[in-house]
Amino acid sequence: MKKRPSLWAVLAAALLLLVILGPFAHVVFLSFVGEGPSFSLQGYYSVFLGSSAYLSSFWRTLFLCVVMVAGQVVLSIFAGLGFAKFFFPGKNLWFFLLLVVMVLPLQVTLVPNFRILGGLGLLNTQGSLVLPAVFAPLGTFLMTQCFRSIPDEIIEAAQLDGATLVGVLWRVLVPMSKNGVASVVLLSFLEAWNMVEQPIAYLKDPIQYPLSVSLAYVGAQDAPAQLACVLLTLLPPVLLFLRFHQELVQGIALAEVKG
Amino acid sequence: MFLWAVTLSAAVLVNCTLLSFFVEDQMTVLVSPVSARPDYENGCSRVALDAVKTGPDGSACLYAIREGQGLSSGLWAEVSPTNLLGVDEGSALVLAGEGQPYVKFSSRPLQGGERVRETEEQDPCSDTFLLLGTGDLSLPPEALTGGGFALLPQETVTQPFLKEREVSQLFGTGAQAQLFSLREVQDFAAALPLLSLAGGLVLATLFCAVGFCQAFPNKLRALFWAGGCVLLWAGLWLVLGRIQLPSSLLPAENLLDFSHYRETFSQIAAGLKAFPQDDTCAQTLETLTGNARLCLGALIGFGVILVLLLALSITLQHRKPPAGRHFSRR
Repeated sequence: MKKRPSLWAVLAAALLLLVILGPFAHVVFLSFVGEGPSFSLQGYYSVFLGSSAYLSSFWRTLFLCVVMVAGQVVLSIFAGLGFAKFFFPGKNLWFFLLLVVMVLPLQVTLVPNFRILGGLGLLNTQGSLVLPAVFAPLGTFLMTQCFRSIPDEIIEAAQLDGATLVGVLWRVLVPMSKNGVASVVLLSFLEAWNMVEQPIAYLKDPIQYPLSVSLAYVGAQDAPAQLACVLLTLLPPVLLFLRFHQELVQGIALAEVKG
Repeated sequence: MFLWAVTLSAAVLVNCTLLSFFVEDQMTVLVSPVSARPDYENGCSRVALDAVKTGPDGSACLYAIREGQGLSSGLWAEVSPTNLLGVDEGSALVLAGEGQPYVKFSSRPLQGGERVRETEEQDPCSDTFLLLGTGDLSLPPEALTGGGFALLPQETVTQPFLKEREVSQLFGTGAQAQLFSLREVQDFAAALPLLSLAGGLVLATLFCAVGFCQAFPNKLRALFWAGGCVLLWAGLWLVLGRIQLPSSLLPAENLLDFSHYRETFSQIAAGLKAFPQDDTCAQTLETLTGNARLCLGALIGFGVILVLLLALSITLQHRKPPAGRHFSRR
């Protein structure tokens, strides 16, 4: 027999929903309000048709995020395989350092990264955003935990059938770790799409800023356009989350550190 | 559901991206700039009198040309309130920034916050101006009048056509007149068929996106629809590149302000009808009305055809027999 939810739980859920969805609903409402105030689509016209800057920035940011995500997924898979299935001297120490870097606030690594990128001549280029993001530790951690949950016997059986290491990785490990890969894709995309500090620190030219930072340049005097731009910015993460939210939950559940 | 959402969103966004480049280019106001020079004797700056405009609140102002940053990169005209201290030898004495460029003439009346582009003078050519409402204006002797309108043939008109410059030259600085260039009206009419073609291509890309979603499990068919979409986008880009709408006939804020077009062109048509004996007027009127009907008819017809094709493809999809063995018991 199903247990009826208590009134307090319902009220708490409703309040939480209001707090979470309220600002979003407010943004949507205000984006349709013009001078007057009256109903107006001028904000949407300005963003989607009136100026090419918003959509150019959108596509450039999306391309940048795809490159970052692709790089991080590939590196995480290989690094995760190494940590999960191979032994090398200092493995536990390196994994511990990976965890430390993972939990460090971004601001701690901003200045060291700035110096390294300056030395590499990547400052004020899109490479300064891509390179640190590709080597982010979270993906490696998730994939390590995913691969650890796969029994070694399966890999041995594949190798007995004649599969090479790459074949085992591509045909056995990655398909069995779809949830982990989806989690890495989603989390790294969200991190890349929402980045603010790194573009401000590493880029001098405002024209190079991704959409998350460029929003600030739209200007409060054109509030409907700014809010329409906010909704444009929401589109890729929402679509991605709608597709991968189940895999995200399962992938994170698999990544629990088991004692 | 996810595939439909992503495909249709992507198709709409790509169409909007292509159209936004076109709209931004068309809506950019052509301006002739002028810089303020310091007048140390009077302790102020001198600027051409034509650069002093009436602002939104009725007071004197200048339109400063400024460079934007980030998403607002490019040249913008910003209202710069000023005090008109006096007029001396055709120059206005104002308090203004030294070296700052201001708008002297524009292709259409400016509003603050509009994107602008500085023009370069091209070879002059002949033109005919249509003046709506003669009012108190002193017309040149060669002007034809009728029904409250005036026709002003011009041997040489500096290109590109800047409405404010021509009004200033014909009727003096500060004069207000509703002046249209018939050459620009003809150019607008000539662009209408291409505009309808562009509209049809946009609808066709959405149709291809729907076809892609329906065909998706079949990769070959999906690739066919995707390839068609890409070709249509390439065609749209080429078509939009060939369209140049005259700036003087466009609305101020929104290119899709159809009420502006309805009002402006009904006034122009009434003015053209007032001079039936003039060949230029007759030809312009015929081209304008003919192309407008063609444009509208083509768009509606294309839309109807696409909707019917879509309905047909959905019906055929639903009628397809389920996959499986088809044999009858004997």
